[in-house]
Amino acid sequence: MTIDVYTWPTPNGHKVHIMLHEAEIAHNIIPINIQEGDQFKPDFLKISPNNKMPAIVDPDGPDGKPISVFESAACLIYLANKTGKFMPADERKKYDVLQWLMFQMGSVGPMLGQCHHFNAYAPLREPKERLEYAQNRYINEGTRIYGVIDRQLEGKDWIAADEYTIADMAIMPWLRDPVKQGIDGDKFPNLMRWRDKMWARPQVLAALETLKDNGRKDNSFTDKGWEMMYGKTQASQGNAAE
Amino acid sequence: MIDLYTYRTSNGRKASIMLEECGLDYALHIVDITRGEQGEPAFRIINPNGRIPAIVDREGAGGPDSAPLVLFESGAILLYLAQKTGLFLPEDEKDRWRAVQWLMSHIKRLIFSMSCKVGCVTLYRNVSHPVSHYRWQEP
Repeated sequence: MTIDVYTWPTPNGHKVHIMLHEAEIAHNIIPINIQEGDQFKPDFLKISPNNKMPAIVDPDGPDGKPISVFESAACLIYLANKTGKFMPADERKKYDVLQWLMFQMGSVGPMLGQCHHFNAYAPLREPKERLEYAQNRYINEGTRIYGVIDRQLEGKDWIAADEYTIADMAIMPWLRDPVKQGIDGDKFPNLMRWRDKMWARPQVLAALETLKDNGRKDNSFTDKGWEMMYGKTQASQGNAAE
Repeated sequence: MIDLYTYRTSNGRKASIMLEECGLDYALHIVDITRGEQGEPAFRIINPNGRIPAIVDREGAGGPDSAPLVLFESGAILLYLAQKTGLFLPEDEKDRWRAVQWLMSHIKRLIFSMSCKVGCVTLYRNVSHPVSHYRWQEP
């Protein structure tokens, strides 16, 4: 059975792409161009009511009927459960993986996403003096998060449970470009060692090729792309009162 | 007995609500984040990320390994307590995955104080069991 993957070449998309390649899951890529506003189309909303990629549809769900799952970490847990791969069966190890996966969802993704936004994107359209507070706030938090990961990896090969799991796959795509996040990656040697080892895996390299030609080549945005990603389009979703 | 390390924040209350709703016996330990207590070495042993809430289940995760289980991240705590008690966890597999996806969404939205819809809570089990990929075994 082939799993449909609604996605785009972003860190959250790559989390799922890595799992698909590592677990050798047959899949069909369906691009959701977030700069063109595909994420707001009614058909996609039926699968992902939060207007976000990635989401998956497995035609062979738990009861033999199709099932859709949105949120990258929910997709990772679903695929680990389906294949029996990259998630330990041992209860203690399983919760070790889950807590680090939740750390990715709660801290790594949201905070480093803001680091990237305020350091790499916002300066394209906002005057410097308006950005200083946000840049400092997120660089401080982002640097703390790099430190947490670095300490966790001291003397270890993997983030959790002493094995390669979906926790590693969830975190790694967010650490590919510390410079754009305003963070000095060289201060975190354990993190960089682990990241680069993972980055050399053929499966990870293949995953990062997903929709590669559709990704941004530079920091530029079209006006429409900026509006779709960061403008009032966001607020007008969900029948919010004007 | 479960030790809960928390403070009166949205994330802290997620764990408190679940413990109360499940009727679990727990000891409350206040970690005053306004005074930076989450950064103290003693707490970092429990949560290397220096964030509340965290729990220590003195009984452990069950099975042959009954050593105390230390767990951080509110979402992981909710999943663990749901599995431990069998409460607030749909039996139907599709419903479980729906709850998981809303839990994940909620974790991220809350970070930005956006409105969220809380799905309480679910967990997949026995991932690596070769013959039961689609089966959720009872604890």
